[in-house]
Amino acid sequence: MISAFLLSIVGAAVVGFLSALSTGGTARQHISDPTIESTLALRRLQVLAPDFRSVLAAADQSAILWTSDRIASRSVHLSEVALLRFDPDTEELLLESVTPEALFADRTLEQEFLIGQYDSILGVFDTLRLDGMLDREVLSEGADSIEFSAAVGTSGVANATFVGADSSARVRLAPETLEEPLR
Amino acid sequence: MTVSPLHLALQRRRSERRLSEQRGASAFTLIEILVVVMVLGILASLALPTLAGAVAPLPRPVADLIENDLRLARLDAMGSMRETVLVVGEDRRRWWLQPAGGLSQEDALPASLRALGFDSLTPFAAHRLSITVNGEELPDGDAALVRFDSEGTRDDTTILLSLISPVNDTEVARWRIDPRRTRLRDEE
Repeated sequence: MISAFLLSIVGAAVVGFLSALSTGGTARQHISDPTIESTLALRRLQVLAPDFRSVLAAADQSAILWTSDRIASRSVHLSEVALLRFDPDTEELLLESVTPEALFADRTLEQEFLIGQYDSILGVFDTLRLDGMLDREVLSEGADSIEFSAAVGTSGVANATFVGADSSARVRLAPETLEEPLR
Repeated sequence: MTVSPLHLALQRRRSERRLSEQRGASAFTLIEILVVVMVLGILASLALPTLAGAVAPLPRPVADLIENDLRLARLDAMGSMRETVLVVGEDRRRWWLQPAGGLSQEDALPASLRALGFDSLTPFAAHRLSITVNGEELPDGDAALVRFDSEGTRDDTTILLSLISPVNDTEVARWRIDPRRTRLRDEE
């Protein structure tokens, strides 16, 4: 009876191993390397927003970038803002900005955000997203999660932590020339 | 000293009983044999389908390599600031990256040529890809499958890739690449 019992245990282990092997082969798991993902994302951000001036706010899964001072005022307008946002459903890092067509069609959208009002930008983007008024570029497709945080001691700069299955990587979102809004 | 026949008979019987007991201790009982056979039967019924599936090469390396090449194409487009395309060869067993403008394998970017049956794709020597773009078959001949502009933005097409085995032309895997994406997702 002992031999039968031992045989059962060994057999169960073999079956378990084979089942795991089979499952792993048929259901393809996306293997992401946070270092590669973060490098690709940063490179793409440099190409898409080469002149971004500063990070206005960064927390949780999003960061707000001041991309230009198109309306020369040293203050932030909606058309000068881009939102970096990690979508946990698709596991994508997106760079969103208001479509020029939407701004052209409704000039009242071009609102100004003064210092201390940047948190309201997230709400405005949520509304515009629902209305289909955002342009969207995919910066990364493979991270399990991405967290943003303001850099300690340096305003206008943020950190982004890319988390994969077994490791994580942190990159610094810093403009070439830092310039913050004056009002 | 003489040994009586009765004594001899008793001795023989005792040794026979001892032998019989020893034999009984080293043998399996019928119940043990039945249990082992039953367990083996259950294990076989569980393991055989799994083993049957494991005999065919797993398609994952193909998907991983294509996904990797799409990212390389994006990087090349951004780095060189020109359009880069991923071209699939006429035989649907080769693909490579090249600057937009032509579809010749001679213009392939260095070390970008892949072929089913070589390197990590050795187990797929006789396999081929079946490809549809926005629901239509890819045209015959060498064909551009994916384009990245100089900002690294991919085109807006939805691509369905199937890996076809030479055994009865069976589809062993199917993946979808969504517009503007580079990730291959399993398609049911």
